[in-house]
Amino acid sequence: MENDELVQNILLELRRGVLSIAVLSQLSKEEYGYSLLKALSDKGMEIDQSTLYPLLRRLESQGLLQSDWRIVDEARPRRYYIISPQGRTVLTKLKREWSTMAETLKQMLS
Amino acid sequence: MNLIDKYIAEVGRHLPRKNRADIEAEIRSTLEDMLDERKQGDGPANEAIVMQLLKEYGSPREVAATYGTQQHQYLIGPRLFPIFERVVRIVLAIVTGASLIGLGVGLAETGLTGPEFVSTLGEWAGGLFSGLIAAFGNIVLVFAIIERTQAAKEFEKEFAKESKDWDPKELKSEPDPDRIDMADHIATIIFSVLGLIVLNLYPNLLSIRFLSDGTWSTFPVLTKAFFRFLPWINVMGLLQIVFSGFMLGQRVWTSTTRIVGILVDIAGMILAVSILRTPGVFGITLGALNSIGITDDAQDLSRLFSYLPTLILVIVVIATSVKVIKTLLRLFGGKSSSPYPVIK
Repeated sequence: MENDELVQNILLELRRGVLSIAVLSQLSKEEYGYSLLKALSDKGMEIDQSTLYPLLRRLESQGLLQSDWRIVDEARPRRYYIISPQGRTVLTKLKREWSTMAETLKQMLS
Repeated sequence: MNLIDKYIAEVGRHLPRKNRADIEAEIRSTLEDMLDERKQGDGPANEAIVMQLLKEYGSPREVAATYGTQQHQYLIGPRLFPIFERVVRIVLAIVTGASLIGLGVGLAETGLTGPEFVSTLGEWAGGLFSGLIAAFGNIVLVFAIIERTQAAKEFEKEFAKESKDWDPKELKSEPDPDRIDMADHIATIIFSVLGLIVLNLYPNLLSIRFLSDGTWSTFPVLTKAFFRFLPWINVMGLLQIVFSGFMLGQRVWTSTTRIVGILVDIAGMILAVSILRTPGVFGITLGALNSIGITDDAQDLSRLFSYLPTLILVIVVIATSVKVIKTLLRLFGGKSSSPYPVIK
């Protein structure tokens, strides 16, 4: 039980670290919060809304995302997010770093 | 007002004012999207579904807290906290040191017995407590202001620069703060032993000899009033000798020896202040000077010597204060003790 909890805590930290990359990677086309949540979940990246929304705001305040409120197809107003040009540059670098890191870890664990 | 409105209003109460409306709108939009997915058909969702949804979304306070972390929800943030901690240690050590010196001076006036002694101690403890609280409060206030102004960024830049320019070679010239100053302790022992020998066995050496009309006249520099303190001086001298001898054996300072060192210094200061505040401890008076034939400048000389106790008193208090404050800074300097014995 105690070990399970430790594993969960470490996994939580691990996921928290990669969430920014995951979110940036899914915003090459615009999404609103809930649709992004679903898109991430469909790809196996379960994320809590209480984690996602503050993260979106942080990424936007860092200039990596852009957002605006819009009403599409007569639905309710929603805030749509899309990656910014700066976000794209940062994501390219992050992808490269991630590949190196993943490769290193793979070698370590094999 | 339906349940979702009430829920959002409740979350809003815990949100920072700046982005409140925007965050509320976003939560509403998400909740309604989630609700659309859960309810059957186009009609309004039943209360049980809404309640289940809100339960899953989290308590209003919890939800608001996830947004709040970007704002100033703390008085002093992590980037300033290390400096804040250092400043608190330094200032509190100085306040404590200054207060101890005040106690020393106070006790020199009241003596070490009687109701006045107790009331001085009581007043000192109360003053120290309120002084520490006030100092701490002021530091917190200043840092809370810095945290909320551009100054915090300047601090951050300065630290980043310091970290970048840091050179391990600097460590070479850094003296080990825990190593004792051997020369200081050896000198203390030599002078204490000499002082005790002269004061106890050869007090006549401490007199002025003067050749007048072919005969030697002498008069003592220190009077009987001074020698009444001799038992205390002996105790103090022996204490200094034992402590310095012990430190020479130890080679390094520990928290305990630093505290003992401070106590010995303060005891020495109290004794010195008590002696110097006693009238007539020095024998160089107008009458004494006249008796050995000095008449021309006797008045000026005796006046000069009358200021001597005050002058020595000021020097003793300042020197002890500096030493005590320096030791306190070392003591509370933020270095944690080692979990294993350190051999130096």
